[in-house]
Amino acid sequence: MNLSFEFEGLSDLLPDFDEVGLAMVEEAGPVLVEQMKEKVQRVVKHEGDSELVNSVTMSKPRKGKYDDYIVSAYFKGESKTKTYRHSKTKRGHYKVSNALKAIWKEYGIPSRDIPAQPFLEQTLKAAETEALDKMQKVFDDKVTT
Amino acid sequence: MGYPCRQDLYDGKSDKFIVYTYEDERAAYYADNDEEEITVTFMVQLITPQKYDYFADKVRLKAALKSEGFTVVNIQSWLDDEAAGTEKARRTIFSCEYTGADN
Repeated sequence: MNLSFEFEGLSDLLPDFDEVGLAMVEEAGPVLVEQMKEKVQRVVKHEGDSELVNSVTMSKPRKGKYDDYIVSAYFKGESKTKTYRHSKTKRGHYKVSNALKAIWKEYGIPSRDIPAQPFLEQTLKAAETEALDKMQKVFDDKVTT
Repeated sequence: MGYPCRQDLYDGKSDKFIVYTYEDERAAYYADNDEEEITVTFMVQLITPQKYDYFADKVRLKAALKSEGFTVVNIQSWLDDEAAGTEKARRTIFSCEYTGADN
């Protein structure tokens, strides 16, 4: 048995929700990036510019497979200062991605005297209210007017 | 579980150990202009050898945390990385929250 309702003409009254959803997360993305940079800066030990902080980048807004809208802040590229040697061969200078450096900050390396300095949870909590406010404003502007 | 458990860092010899980090604390409930309860976020890391069957330990540690009143929000597990020189270890990370009186 199949029950269904059919509406016609409603789409003429509603805006394009893909456009609305993408615009909402695009507006919220910079808030996430700004908070991520601030929280990562707190766990950077050295003075001066940090390539880890500068590598924080906002992704392009996209629609997910569950009709969700996604934007993220991520660590782009590879470190220009950090390399490592293969543990067995002791050869080579392999590049370290900024994302891996961020993982070392977040979770630490407890057996190597590097404590976890978590910043992801703090970033999310700090960004949440402002990001939601910005998304709500976009929604109100595009849908309720 | 019998494994050494330390805050933030472990400088012992055991290849199985637990470290925890006091990650975040914020007010949960207010009354009379004061915090009645706080919520604390902990990161608990179980470190085991790469080839060790860690799953039973994961189940036991999760049960132990829950029995002490923690909410286990999330568990992740991965093999550690070559670049840090810790590729022989597995990390299992429990993100936990605890809400209780501020004292």
